Formats: sequence, C-alpha cells, structure tokens
Amino acid sequence: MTRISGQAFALALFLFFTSSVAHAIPSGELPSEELAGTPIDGGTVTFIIPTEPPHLLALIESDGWMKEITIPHLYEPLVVHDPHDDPDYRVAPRLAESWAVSPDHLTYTFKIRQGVRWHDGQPFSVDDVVFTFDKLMDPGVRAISLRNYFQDLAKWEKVDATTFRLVYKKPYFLTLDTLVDVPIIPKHIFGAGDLNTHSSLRAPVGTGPFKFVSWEPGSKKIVYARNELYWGKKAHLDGLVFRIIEDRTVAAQVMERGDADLYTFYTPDRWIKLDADLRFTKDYWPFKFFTANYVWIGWNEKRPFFADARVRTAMTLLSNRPYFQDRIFKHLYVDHTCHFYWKSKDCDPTLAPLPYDVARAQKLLAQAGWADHDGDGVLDKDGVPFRFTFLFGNGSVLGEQIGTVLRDSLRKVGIVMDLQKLEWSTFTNRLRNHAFDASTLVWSGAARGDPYQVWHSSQAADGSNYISFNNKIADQLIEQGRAEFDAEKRHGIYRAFGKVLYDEQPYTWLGTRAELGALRKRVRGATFNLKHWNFADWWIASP
Amino acid sequence: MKRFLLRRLLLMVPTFFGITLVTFAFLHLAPGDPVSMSMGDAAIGQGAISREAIAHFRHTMGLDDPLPAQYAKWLWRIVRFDFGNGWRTGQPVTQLLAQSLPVTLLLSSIALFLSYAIAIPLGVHAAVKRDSPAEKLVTLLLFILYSLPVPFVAILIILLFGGGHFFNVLPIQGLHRDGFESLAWPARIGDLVWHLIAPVFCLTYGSLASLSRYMRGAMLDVIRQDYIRTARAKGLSERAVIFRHALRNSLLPLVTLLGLYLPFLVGGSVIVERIFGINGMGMLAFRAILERDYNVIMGVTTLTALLTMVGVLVSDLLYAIVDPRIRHA
Repeated sequence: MTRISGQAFALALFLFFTSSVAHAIPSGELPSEELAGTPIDGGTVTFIIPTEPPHLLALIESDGWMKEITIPHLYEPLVVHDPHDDPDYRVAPRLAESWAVSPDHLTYTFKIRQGVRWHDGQPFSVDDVVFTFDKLMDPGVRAISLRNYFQDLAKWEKVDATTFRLVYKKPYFLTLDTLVDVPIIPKHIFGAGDLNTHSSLRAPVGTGPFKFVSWEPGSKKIVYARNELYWGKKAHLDGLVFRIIEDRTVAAQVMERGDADLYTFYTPDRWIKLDADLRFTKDYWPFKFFTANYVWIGWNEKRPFFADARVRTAMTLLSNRPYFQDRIFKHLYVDHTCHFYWKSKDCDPTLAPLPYDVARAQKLLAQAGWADHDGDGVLDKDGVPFRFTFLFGNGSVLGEQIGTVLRDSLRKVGIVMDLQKLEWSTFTNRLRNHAFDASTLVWSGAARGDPYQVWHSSQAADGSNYISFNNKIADQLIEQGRAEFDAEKRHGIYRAFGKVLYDEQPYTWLGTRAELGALRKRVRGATFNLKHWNFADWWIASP
Repeated sequence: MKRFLLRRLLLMVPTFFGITLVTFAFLHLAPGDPVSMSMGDAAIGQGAISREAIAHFRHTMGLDDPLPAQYAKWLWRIVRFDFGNGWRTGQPVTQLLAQSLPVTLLLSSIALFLSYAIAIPLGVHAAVKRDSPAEKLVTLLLFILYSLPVPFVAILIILLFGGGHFFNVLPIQGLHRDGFESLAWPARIGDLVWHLIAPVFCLTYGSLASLSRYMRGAMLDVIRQDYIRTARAKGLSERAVIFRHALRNSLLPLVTLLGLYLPFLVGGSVIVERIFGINGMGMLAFRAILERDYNVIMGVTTLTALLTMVGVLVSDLLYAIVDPRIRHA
C-alpha cells in the first residue's frame, strides 16, 4: 500500500520535471570559433570525469580515464599520437627527439631529448628511460596489461648519454604505437621502494606541460598547474582541475550550476535536451565526438544455428536498425561495419550496413534448411528447434533494449530468443569460455589496431575470439597485416579483411556510438577526437 | 555486572571469527579475483594477456593456496594488525580506513541522533494523541517519506535546491567548499553544516516512520499498565505521567533498535555517498567488492565487525541501565 503511494508520488514528480516536448537531435558540432583566435595565457579549466582513478601512474594497472588525464600531460612517453592528425594519428616525437628503425624492423634507436627537467627540477636523462623499461618488464610490477604488449621485447639499453635502444624478437607494425602508452618515470623518485605501493603513485612527478598540485585524500578533486620548466611550448592554462563525479545526473547538474567547464559523459536523453535549454546554451556548447568503438552482437559459430553464414546474415537482416536508431540510439550512432576506427582508412566506406529486410532473411533461413517442419511455430532443422539465449551483462542497458526489440523481430519469423542478464564478471567468464549462443558488447580501440586478438582463429582458445570465428582467408590477411609496415598497403589488406567479415557476418555491427559532452564557450583550442585531449593547447578567451 | 560484562566480551571473540569466516567464504565464492578484476576491460578486450603474469600475481598474493590456508594466513596477519595494501590503489588498507571512517561516522552519527531526536517525540505524541487528525496526518507524511527511495530523493534535492533551473540554496558535492582550509573555525563549521544538510536528510528521513511507530507502540503498551493508572490516580499531571513514568520504560525497544542500527553507523551508505560525492566507508566497501580487492574488503569487514560489536555491547549496557531486570537475569 505505502509502496504504491510512494511510486505514484514519484511518478507525479517525475512528470512534473520532464517536459513532454519532443527534442530535435542536435548536430553536436563545435563551432569553428572554438578553434579560432590567438591564444592567451591564464585561467583554469574544470573537467568532470566519471570515475575515480586508483592512482596517477598509468604504468601500473589503470583505467582508461586515468591514462587520458595523465599521459602526456603529466608524464610523457617517448612518442605520442599527434592529436591533430585525425584519422591517422601518426606517431610524433615527445621525449624521444627522433628515432631510427633497422631494416628488419627489430631494432629501434631513439635520440633522447636533452635539457628536459622533471617537475621537481631534477634533470631527465636516458637513465630514466632505462629505469622505466626495467620496471615495465619486471614481473613483480603490477603492469600486466601494459607488459602484455611487450612480450616480444628482447632488450632495452642505454647506448650512450643521449641514445636509447629497443630490440625486439619479432617485427610488429604497432611497435611504435605501443610506446605511446608507456609513461617515462623518474628514477630518483621511484628508484627506492616498491613501485606497486609507492606513495608517489598519487603524487606524480613527471616531465609534461602540467605538473601535479594536489589530490587531497578523500577529496574528489585532482589539481594540475602549468609546468613553467617545460622543455617545449608551455601550456596556456594556469591550471586544470579534474572533478570526479560518478553519478551522471549529478554531473549534469554541476554543469548546469556553472561549476565546471567540460563534461563528456552525458546520457543521450539528457544531452539531447541540452540544445533546447537556452539558459545553458548561453554559456555552453553541447557537442559530440566519436572514439574508436563499435557495438556488436556476436553469434557463436560453435552453435548449430550460427555455423552457417546465411543464418548469421539473416540475423543481421532481422535486426531492426532503423528502429534501434530512432528509439534506442537516438540517431547518435554512426553506421559502421568494420573492426577499426570508423574514420580510419583501414575501413571500406562502401560496405554499408545491411538493411532491415525480413523477406530476404526468411529466404536465407530457408536456404540454410531452417523451416517449421513439425508445425509448432518454431523453425527447426534436423530436429533442433531454433531457440537460443541472448546473453548480456548487468549494467548493459543497451543489451536489454536491443535484446527486447530483437526478440520480437525474431519471434515473427519463428525463432525463439530468450534474454539472460548476468552479473558482469560472470558474464565475461561465460564469454571467455564460449558458453553462450549470442551476446552483445562494445569494443573500444585506438586509431590503429590489430584485429588479431579478436578475429584470428588461434585466438578462440585464449584470446577475444569468443564467437570462434574461423576463416582461412581472414587469418592470412590478419597475418599479412601484422607484417606490413607500409600504411597504404596495410589499408588495402585490412579492407580486404573487412570484406570477408562483411560477407561472413560473424557479428551484427550496430554502429559507432557518440560520446556526448558540453564545453563552456570561453574554453578554446580544444579538439575532441578519440579522446586525445590536447590540454596544453587549450586556452581561455577573455570574458 | 562485572560477570555480565566479561561474558559479553568473551562472546565477542567467536562472533568476530564467525563474521570474518563468512565474509572470507563469500568473497571467494564470487567469480573473479583482484588480479583479473583490476584488468577490467583489458581482460575482455585483449584476451591474450599472458597467463604467466596472472599466475605470478596470484602466487605472490597467495591466491593459489587452499582456502583454509589463505584464511589462516589472513588471521595471522590480522593478529599483528597487518591489513596489507589495497590492490587497486596500492595504499595501505589502514590508511584507506582512516580516511573513510571519520567521514562516515560524522554523517551517520548525526543522522542517527536526529532520527531518534525526532522520532521519540513524534512517537510519544502519536501515542498520547492517538486517532486525532493531527496524528493521522503526521503518520501519513512519515509513511510517504518512508516510501520514497533514497536515490530518488537525493537526486530530487540536487535538482530542486542545487542550482540549475530551480533554487540554488544547497551545495551538492562533497563536504567542504573550495578554500575550506583558509576559513576561520566558525566559518568552517558553518560550511560543513551547510554541506551536511542534504546527505543527512537523505540518511534520516526513511527511519523516522519505523522508529516513531516503534515508539508509539511501546508507549501505548506502557500507558495501559496499572502503574500508569496509579500515577494518574495519584493526581499527577499528564505531562509527569508520560515523561517521568511512562517514557523510560517505553524506550526499551528503541534501545534494542539502536543496536541494530550500528552496522549502518560504521558501514555508511553507498547511494548517498555516491550521489553527494563523499568518500566514506560505503563507497570504499562497494568499490572494493566490485574490484574483488580482498585486503580492503577484509579490512572494512574487520573494522565494521569490531565497531559493531562494541556498539552492541554498549547498547546492551544501556539496556541494563534502563531496565534493571536485565542485569540480574
């Protein structure tokens, strides 16, 4: 009784606060003035981030956000991805001034930048670089995921006072790209004590254009200031403040109050309404940007239904994408049918998503031998009814929404799909053990990626090839791509690989989803692609 | 009284082991461990994470020992007050607890005090003026409050009073404003109180209904007793009858309830802490459980168990003070 009255009251209040006006979908483009003008020094930007970093040294097991806010702003790697080079993000020098690669692509020799100082004034040297790799490769250091990329690293050594060398066992086209994630750390700070529990994990000393100021215990605020000793072009901003607010409604409210300059984690519902909020748009630009991600539904090829490419294609044809776009994605997804970053030249833009086409799907199912032989309203083949379970993790609102719509579309053609929601780690265990029929997840990657772990047939055992995709041509193309150092040629190889995926439909690609943010209008010089924040270029226009 | 105290103290020992054993067992029943959980997305996205590295850390952390051996090792460390370091942040567990406990104690002790301070008079009023329109209205309001879920109310407060489209009267994040350290003492206290209003309200309102109903019930039981009739017959004023004679005896159930509220006192509230951006015990424990950060979970459990047991002991002692019969039983 009392529960009902409570809910009714809640509903009344909810209706009171949510306007029923339909909102047009905003374009989400930042105006050109945001990048125009001559930068001036001064001012602080407050940026709301959605998770509390465990510490601030991305060498040790970290999360995505922590990496974004520390590299290369506090700690610098040897090389970076040029943030202004969308969509190629070519590798650019940072603490390494230049480098040379041996013809066999096994030896990388770096000229280390001279005259660089740590934030505490100590000189930076090649010894710090060696020290960093000592720590990275030390099995006792909690750098498991990062070290995984360096399994083929045979030797790291100081050649002379300005030269550092890496020697690999195997050539690999992403070798330089992996260095982008390795922050070079000071030997004089981390040399003593256990790195895993070092007190400086939370109080970093780096070489970057910003230096660490404070992160009070228990406070949800991390403060940086401009590094006046910086070797390169100094930052325009006096400081940066990262406020940690986990709840998305609260974060949006803090923006409404004008207490922060930037937030990039809006829910689609809230973000769509921002444009109509004139009081808010007086001071803020709502904007969207795309990282290298894609949402997929995977069909386990070890299951009798999904071994046949015609059935998988039928599943894609039965996925009502126009309805998804209208009701679930709110037109905030871009079409995408490729494993790589959607703007990357590795993707063939002519491979458009398959349409929602029930008749064609039914024809394909019939060709594959699926028909209702026993007249029970459910398709069957060799006595096996077409009945399977769609698995997703709790917290995946998308999985629940997509699953519900898909279930209804499939029911109409005689396929029974049950939905099952599992606790997240149980869910990922089931994926890893291939103990599922169909599932959905988002893959996030970088500008350049290696499809090996997700798509090579060998990775069904231990890698991320959960659906047991097994295609000889795809395997060959993947291996060819790994050994190809010419970007243009590699684009060709990966486009051919993409065509194989397109024909095989091991996944139903649902598109790349947008990140939704708002930026205060006085902040200038910020570019948003792939989350390569370029804080050092940001500046505040005079009010 | 001494024997009573001694018996209670001795009982705490097996209780403590029971609590830690159950926590330990449940922790290891859940899928995943700190090593795999801390890799989070990496563990899904890059499946080729070398098994050796994981095995190495499981070994150094003793996670590949048989469970009884792990538990024994853990106990041996606890006896020496060595809680270890959190896996996720690398900080000593004692440091994490020392940061979170005061915040939670501050919030929940104020909330608990206010709940009692408001619920007792409300309950007495409801008992004395039972069936009056005023009493019915108050009961209705309390039940409405009781039915409102905390996340909803917290967000509502933030949307209504936290600036934006409506009133800008309350801060919505944290317990201090910027530059708190540079304020004079009175201003600091004022700032703290201002920040505490919303979270404390969220922690308090829900318990008012039940507490005041308990108080009303207990008071009704007592005022039907013979000695109350005797007191009235002596010609005492109604005020004296209720407050001097009836109140003390009707408080007994509420003292029992106090014992039940103690885990909350040190355990904190995940929802309130998350929404209002407060780093207390609730968030510490919640995050540690998600991350399977065993050292932190066991540290939180140990501390919570110990403080709760001390609290229960205190509530038992209070019980004995309020009701002399308990002491002799």
